[in-house]
Amino acid sequence: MTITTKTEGTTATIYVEGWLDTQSSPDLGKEVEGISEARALVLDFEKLEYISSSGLREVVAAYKKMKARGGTFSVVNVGSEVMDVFRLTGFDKKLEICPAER
Amino acid sequence: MERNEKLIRMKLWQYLLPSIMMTAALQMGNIVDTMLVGNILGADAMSAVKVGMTIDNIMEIPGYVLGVGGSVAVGILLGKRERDKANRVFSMTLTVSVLCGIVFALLSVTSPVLAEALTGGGSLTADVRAFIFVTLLGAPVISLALQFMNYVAVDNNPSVASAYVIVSNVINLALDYLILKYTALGTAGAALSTVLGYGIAMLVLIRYLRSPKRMLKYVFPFGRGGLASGAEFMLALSTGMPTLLYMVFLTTKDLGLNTMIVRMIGNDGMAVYTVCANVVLLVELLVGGIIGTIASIGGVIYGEKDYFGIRSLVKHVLIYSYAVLLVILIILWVFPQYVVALFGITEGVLSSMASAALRIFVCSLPFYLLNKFMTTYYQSTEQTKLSGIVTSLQTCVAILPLAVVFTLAAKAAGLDLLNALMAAFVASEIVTIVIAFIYRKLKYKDQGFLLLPEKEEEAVYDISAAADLEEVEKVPREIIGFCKAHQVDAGRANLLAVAAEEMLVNIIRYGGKKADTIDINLRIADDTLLFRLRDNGIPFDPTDYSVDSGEYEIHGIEVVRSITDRMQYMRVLDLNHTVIEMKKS
Repeated sequence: MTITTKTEGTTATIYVEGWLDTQSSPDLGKEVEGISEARALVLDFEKLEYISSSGLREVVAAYKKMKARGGTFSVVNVGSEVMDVFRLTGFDKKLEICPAER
Repeated sequence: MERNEKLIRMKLWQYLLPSIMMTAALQMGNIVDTMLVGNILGADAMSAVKVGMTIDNIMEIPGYVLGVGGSVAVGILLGKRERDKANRVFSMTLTVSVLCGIVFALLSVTSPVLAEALTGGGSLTADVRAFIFVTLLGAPVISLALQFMNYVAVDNNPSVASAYVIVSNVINLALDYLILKYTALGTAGAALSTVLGYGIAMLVLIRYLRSPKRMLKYVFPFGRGGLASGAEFMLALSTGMPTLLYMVFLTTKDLGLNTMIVRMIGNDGMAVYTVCANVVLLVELLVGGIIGTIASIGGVIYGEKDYFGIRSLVKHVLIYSYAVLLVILIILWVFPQYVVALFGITEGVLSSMASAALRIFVCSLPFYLLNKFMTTYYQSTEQTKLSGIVTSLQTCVAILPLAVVFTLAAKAAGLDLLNALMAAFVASEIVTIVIAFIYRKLKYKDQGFLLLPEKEEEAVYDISAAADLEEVEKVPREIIGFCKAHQVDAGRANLLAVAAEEMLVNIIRYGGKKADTIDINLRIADDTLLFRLRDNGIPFDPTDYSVDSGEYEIHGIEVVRSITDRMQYMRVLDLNHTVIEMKKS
């Protein structure tokens, strides 16, 4: 898994690539820890192939963190396979998630 | 990653000891009993007991068949929580078999006639008569014993049931020694100690009657609702049918062989045959338990279509049992005179005659073992018919005619009759193997000995992994790759991989220290994906798992439940078996 973060003004975008599974998810958590200034957090999942429940947990943790701070949170460019996981677990309704455009 | 044999081998060892102990306890009584009679009363008395045993077998048929059949039926009914019906089956079979016992006891007055018929009026007649008289008189006790032996185990008290078997055998042997040695009762004493053994040991059953786990209650079966009891009685009887057939075959064989041997070969022949029959019991004692593990583990593994597991189990069972048999064979082949001496046959001519015969007889044992294996294996893998063919040939249908033909041929050719009879035993085991082979070839042309599909009809991914996060990390990737290779929709493959990861991580995190190996199996069927995990962690039923999760909490098992179509769990063989099902599209 590769993670890259770009910050523009008060918006931080984290690009996650590859597999977000039990082994790699903690890395996303650490990355989110690192962006303490941003008012808006965007997770770009365009190149994310796979997400497990531990990955979901990190996504939700990031959401809670932003909410506590009064900021905004969204997940964008979610591919259909990863979207299935959000949909079946009901998180597509609870979080702001935008599927990738086809 | 590859599939390995670790979990299966572990279970084999865990089930091996209890299985061997059970078989040993049952056979030990018989063998030592015969040895005591042979040593204290002599070879003729030993032959007489063997001849009289046929009546004992016949007398046991109602109790045995109703006990086995009834307890199986009661087990199923209790499983369905139909306690009233279970009580009726129990009460009805108990009453009927005790009534049968009373009828047999009344028939004891006919023992002179029976003894005469069994021995053809030869010198064994008096000993046979004494033995069957007491045996028949004790029939009600034995009938009751056979009922409890079976029901107590099913009714949540397996340890009491085995204690009863062991205690009654110990009492039987102790009394055997005392009565045979210090009284002049002779063969009647041998029968008496058996009856007393089973009778006195019933004190052990008090623990069952007082047990809070006991479910069964006796209800008088001939009052109102007697008709309903009749239906339940038939249920017990039909469940006991295979047992009935086996016992009928066994009794027919004994009756036929005993009659033929006593009349054609004589008392010495009967003594030698008795030793051989007990050698078979000894083999059963040592090897039967190993093969018995197929009955306890094989069915479950077969039910899961784990053909790798079945093959591995069979391989180990055959290696262990033939290794044990090899040792027995060497002892029997090198020291036959000591073996026959254990049964009191020490006198010169008879001893050397018995030794020579025993050497021929032991040649049948490797084939015997294979047939025994086939019976158990085919029964556990839903090939009941083939199993039945092997049993019936082995216990009766092959041996009886062959014994007559071989003995008559030897008589015509002026050869030794006893050795010819022994050769008939070897031939009958081989004939059984050949007929089973022909049947298999005719019915299932291309399949091998185990009748398992050589090539999987469905695509199967089958591996074993160490319970370690780094090792199982590869599994979801391999699953996606495997699904892709078999044209499964990418979205479904991905969800399955997610579910697999959750389950595996869960086992590793919460399975406890004992969890070290996981068997992983994915089967792509026509319209479903079947994913099965087997692990040796602490018992955990994911279908019975619920947490009050808050809106934003995520629990792995709940994720699995929400993305799959069905989840099943069983704790079998002391292993967790979890199966996840998902529609293919």
